[in-house]
Parts: sequence; structure tokens; C-alpha cells
Amino acid sequence: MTRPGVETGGRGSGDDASRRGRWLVVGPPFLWLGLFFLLPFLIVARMSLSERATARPPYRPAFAWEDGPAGWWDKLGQLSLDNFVSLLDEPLYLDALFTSLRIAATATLILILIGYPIAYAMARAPGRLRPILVTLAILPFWTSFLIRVYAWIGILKPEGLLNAALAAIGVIDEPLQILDTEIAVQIGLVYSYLPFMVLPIYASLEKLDGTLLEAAQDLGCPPWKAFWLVTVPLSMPGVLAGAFLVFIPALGEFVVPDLLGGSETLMIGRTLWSEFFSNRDWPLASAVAIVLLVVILGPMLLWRAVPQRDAEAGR
Amino acid sequence: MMGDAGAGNAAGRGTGRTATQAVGSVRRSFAPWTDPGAKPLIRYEKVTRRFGDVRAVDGVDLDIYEREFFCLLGPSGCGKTTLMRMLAGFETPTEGRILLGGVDLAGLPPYRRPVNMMFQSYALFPHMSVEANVAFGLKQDGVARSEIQDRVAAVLKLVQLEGYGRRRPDQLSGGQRQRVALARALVKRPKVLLLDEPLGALDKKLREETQFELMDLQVELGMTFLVVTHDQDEAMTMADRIAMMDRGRIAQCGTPAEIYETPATRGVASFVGDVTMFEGVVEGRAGSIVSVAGEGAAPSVLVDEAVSGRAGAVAVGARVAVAVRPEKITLAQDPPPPGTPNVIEGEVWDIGYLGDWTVYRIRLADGAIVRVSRANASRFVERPITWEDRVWIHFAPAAGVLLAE
Ligand SMILES: Nc1ncnc2c1ncn2[C@@H]1O[C@H](COP(=O)(O)OP(=O)(O)O)[C@@H](O)[C@H]1O
Ligand SMILES: [Mg+2]
Repeated sequence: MTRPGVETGGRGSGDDASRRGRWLVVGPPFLWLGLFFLLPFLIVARMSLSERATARPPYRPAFAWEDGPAGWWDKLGQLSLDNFVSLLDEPLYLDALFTSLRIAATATLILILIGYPIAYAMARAPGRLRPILVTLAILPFWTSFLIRVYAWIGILKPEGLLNAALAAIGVIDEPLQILDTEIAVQIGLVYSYLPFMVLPIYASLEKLDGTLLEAAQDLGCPPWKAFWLVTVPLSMPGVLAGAFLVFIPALGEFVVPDLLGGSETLMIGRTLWSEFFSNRDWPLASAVAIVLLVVILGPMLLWRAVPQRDAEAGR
Repeated sequence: MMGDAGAGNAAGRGTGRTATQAVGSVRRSFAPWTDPGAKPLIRYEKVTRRFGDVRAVDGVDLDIYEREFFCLLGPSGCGKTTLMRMLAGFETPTEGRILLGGVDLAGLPPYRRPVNMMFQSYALFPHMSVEANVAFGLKQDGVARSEIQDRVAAVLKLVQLEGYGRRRPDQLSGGQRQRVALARALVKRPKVLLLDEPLGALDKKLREETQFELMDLQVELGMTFLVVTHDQDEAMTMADRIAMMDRGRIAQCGTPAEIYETPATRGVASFVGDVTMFEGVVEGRAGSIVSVAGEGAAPSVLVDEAVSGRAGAVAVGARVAVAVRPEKITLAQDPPPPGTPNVIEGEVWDIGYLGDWTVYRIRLADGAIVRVSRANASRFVERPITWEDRVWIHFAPAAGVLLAE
């Protein structure tokens, strides 16, 4: 502070070392993302711009290595968005997309409504109990996801456990048709993704400073109101993280609608699957995947931008 | 620090800052606790609070009067916070009751009590601006929007935070956060303001400035302040009265001068200010003068038990201590004239120069160390006292305080 010249000099040389160190830390994740996210994405993007063909793999690549840079430039001019256009032409795809959005959004809402009280109870439990409760919350992961969704078939089918139980207590006379409906898909999604909602909310509630609630009460705020004015806003980051963690995979979910949804529930993940494996239309399937990615990334980028703007305005 | 705490306290009130002159005159005549007819605003009656086997607060009786600046002083863990939290409603007494304005508070939840608390951690809402934090309590009371605005602006001005209203707590310094917490508790104009270690997180200089600001504020607003602190200087500076706590009990309750000049227990004597204890056995008494015989090579001393107003409290043969403050001991380089009471010979063991004061540590024949302080009133001293000098200390019987146990 007293000798700025010396300090700047010292900091300069330190900067080089720290920059190298920073790349060592940041580098591997970037490499990982590049190899396993960006590269596959580029492959899929190329596929989505290509033409279907009777070949192996079943498409004619839009770009090929052999073309060289000049050839790439040429082809850029002749790119065809046919696959994307046909997505719009055929109502099936848009339908599937909207159904998926609706189902994923509903599941996310239900998950917040169920997950928040669970997380709240966990966070308010005595300190000794909490690690046990967290373990219980992640316990389902010890069994395969596929098997657990299969088990729901046994519960939901007309002669299954649920109908048997409802009949036994006399609520229904005829078995309810739950399996192979959207309700079954909702149940499956909510069941499968509950831990992903509970854990982030729990994490934000657990670190909430209890004296803030005392302060609110001290200022004349009854406990239920303090919950709305203090606890809820301060646990919002957890709720948002949980919402993204469940909404995104739920949107593209394949296993749950395939096993529980029957033929009438059309979700985008199943559409993608059938384009790939039944129709062997890889370019179209890739276009579906790209659209899905844009639908997910759009709101996420928007969400990322908001808190930043907020922080800058506050400064 | 040294013995300046007692004397400095009285002086600090009226002088030093022009703003406190009015405060001084108000304070000088303020002593409702001496008036037997006065009704206390807050009354603790035999209040005990147990946590499992721990008696955090143990049978406390305490009266606090309106407009009083009252400090709870004591070492960490002695139950100060618990005692205060019972008044705010965050803890319930296991036994006894607490009255506010003559009304039993039992069963009244914290959000209905006419007291506000400033938390040790400040507990500012991190997701709200400074303004929203301060307005929070008024909103709960359903105060009109325009009035909220005015009162928030006024209180932010009072704590010198104008222009910071739109900031978030994490964009403020520690001192500014402390002010926001204070403003948030003040704005509701509570009957009693509770402050738990309000200055604990501030650095020394800021803490001292803020002490005086709190005192000014308290007189200006005519509020009753109950402040918890473990810092004796802070309590001495600010309080009208101090309750010194020790393991859940009130060891002594009185004005800063009473606490300093006539401590009731060894704990109080050694926690507040510096002190030397002369241990011994009561040998006899002549009038109010008690003679205490030291064992072995320890010196025997005379002490006037009338000083503490607790005459006759100790029997002949009882083990006692005579507590003497360092500034009440005279240090001489030559033997004092015969007939001077409590003369003890020793050797200069250590000297600490503090600028305004110098502290001498004198080693006696039995190895005990006596602390003596002297004001550095004049710049040049003919025969300065230095290390290993032979010296004589002496003090009047009325300078000591007789402590039992
Ligand atoms: N909620 C609680 N549960 C158990 N023990 C407590 C609780 N609050 C305080 N105590 C105990 O009561 C005693 C007094 O605590 P406290 O009032 O915080 O002291 P201080 O404020 O004087 O430092 C301590 O021994 C502390 O451990
Ligand atoms: Mg405390």
C-alpha cells in the first residue's frame, strides 16, 4: 500500500503464475465439456442439417472432412433446413413438444409442492437426525431407476396394488384406469425426481440463519408470516435449482412415458426414439434433439441473465 | 485497563464532547432506583432458566426503570443473553416471572411484546435493501405507507445512513450494518430496546465512538436501553447501572462507581478494573476498622468496613480478602513517617508506561505482586522510580474493600 511500484511489480509476476494455475484448475472441466458435450453436439447439429439416405449410417453428411475449408464454405451456402421445416409441417412433433412441456411443467410444480415441505421438515429436524434423513432421501438411487419405474406398473395396473387397496376400503367398485394415462406419467415423474427437488431445497433451508426468523418475530411478524417473508425468499435459489434439475430431464424423459404412459401419451423423448430406431431417420431425430436443446437453453440463459442484472443495478 | 475507569467515567459524561453536556445534566439527577416509591418498568422476579442440567439463569431478581441505560455485564457464558432473550420472548423462564410495566409477560409471543432487540449477529435480512429492513417492523404493524417512508428516512438520518437506503446488507461495512440493525430496532419506538453485544463486531476506535453515540441517542429518544456486554469499559462508559453476572446469578447491581469502588465479591472486584487482593484472617476490629492478619510473610492490613456499607458482615477468625485498587495506593521512595497505616515494603518488579498513567508492579517479601498506578502529571521527575528500586507502598484503611469468602 505504501509502495505501489513495488507492489505492482510483485503482483505482475504473481499474476503469470496464478494465471497458469487457474488454467490448470479450469482446463480439465473445459476439456471434458468439449469432448463430451460440444463435440457430440456438433455431430448431432451436422446430422440435423444432413439428408436422409439409405446408407450406413443412414444419412448423407452435410459436411465431410474430405471437402476441405473451401468445400465447407461452398456447402454452407447450400445448407438445407428441410428437417426443421418438416418438424413444423408435421403437427405430431409440435404436439409432442407441447405435451412434454406441459407434463414437465406440471410435474415440476407438483414436485415443488411436495418437495418443499419434505425439505423443510428435514431442515428443521434435530441436528443428529439430519444426515440420516439425507441418506433416506437418496436411498432410492441404490436401486435401478428402470426397475423402480417397472414396479409402478405393478402398482398402477387395473388389477394392481393401488386399485386393490382402493377397492378394499370401498372407495371404488370398478378398477381405475391409471396405467397408460398421463396421470401415470406424472406419478412416475414425481416419484423418480423427488430427491432432485428435495436436496437443493434442503441445502438452502439448512443454511438459513435461524436468528433471521427471530428478528422477524421480534419486529412483530407472526411465525407463519415470517415463513413467507424470510424463509421462502431465502430458499428460492434452492427451489430454482431443484426446478431446473427436474424440469430439464423430465422434458426429454423417455423411460417413464414409455413404461407408464401407454400409446396415448406423446412425449418428445419417445418421438425422438421412434424417429431414430423405428424410422431410422437420423437427421430428423437430430433436428428434434436440437430443438429440444434450444427450448431448454433459452429460458436457462434468460434466468442466468436476471440475477446478474439485479446485482449490477444494486451496486 | 487501569483505575481510570472509575474516575474517567464521571468525567466522560459531562466533558469531552459538547453534545453530551445536556446528557450530563440529565444523568446527574437521574437515579430512580434510589426512590422507594418508583415503579420499575421491567421486573425480573426469581427468574430461573435451565437448559438440561445447566442453570443458565439462576434465581435472578432485577428491577430496571424507565429511561434507564442498563448494562448486563459478565464473562462469556454467564447467562446474559439468556436473561435478555427471556424478556424478548425467545426463551421462557423455567421458574419465576417477568413483568413489563407491571404486566406479566408469560404467554405473550415475541411478536406481541413491546420490546425490540438488536441481535449480536445483526440478523439483517440479506434479501432486502436497507430501507426494506428498517421498514419491516412498521409494515408488520400496518403503519401507513407515507408514514413508514418518513419514519424510515428519519431513523436512517439519525444513525447517519442517509443515502444508503437502497443498498443490500452485503454492500455495507461492519459499522454500517450495525447502524442498520440499530435503526431497524429503533424505528418501532419500543418501550425497551434490547442490545446484545451491540458493538462486539466493531474495531476499538469505532466502538468507543459508537458508545457515546448510543448514550446520546438513548437520552434523545427517552428510551430504556438494556445492553449486554462482556466489556467492562463499555459498561462503565455507557451505563446508568450495571448488573454484574456470574454463573447465572447477579453478583452485584449498582452504578458504575459503586461497582468499581465497592465491589461486593472477589469476582466483581477482579472482573471490573484492576485490583490487588490482600488475603488473611480477621484478627479484630476497632470501631469500623478491621485488622486482617496475613499468614506467613504476607502483610497484615487495616481496612475500614464502613466504606462498603456492609459493616459487621464478617466475624473474627473468618478468612477474607482486602481488595485495593491500584490508583488508591501511594508509592514512596523513602519510608513514610511512623503512624502511617498499611505500610508495606517491596521492590519494583515491573513498570508499564501507558502515557497518561504508569503502572508499577511491586513485589513484596512473600512474593506477592501489588499493582500501583500513578498519574504522569508532570513531565520531569527528579528521582524517577526504576526497576529493582526499594519502595514503600501504603494506603488508607478506607481505600480497601473487605470481601468475605
Ligand atoms: N438454547 C440453549 N440450549 C442449551 N444451553 C444453552 C442454550 N442457550 C444458552 N445455553 C447455555 O446457557 C449458558 C449461558 O449462555 P448465554 O446466556 O448465551 O451466555 P452469555 O450471553 O453471557 O455469553 C451457557 O452455558 C450456554 O451454553
Ligand atoms: Mg451472549
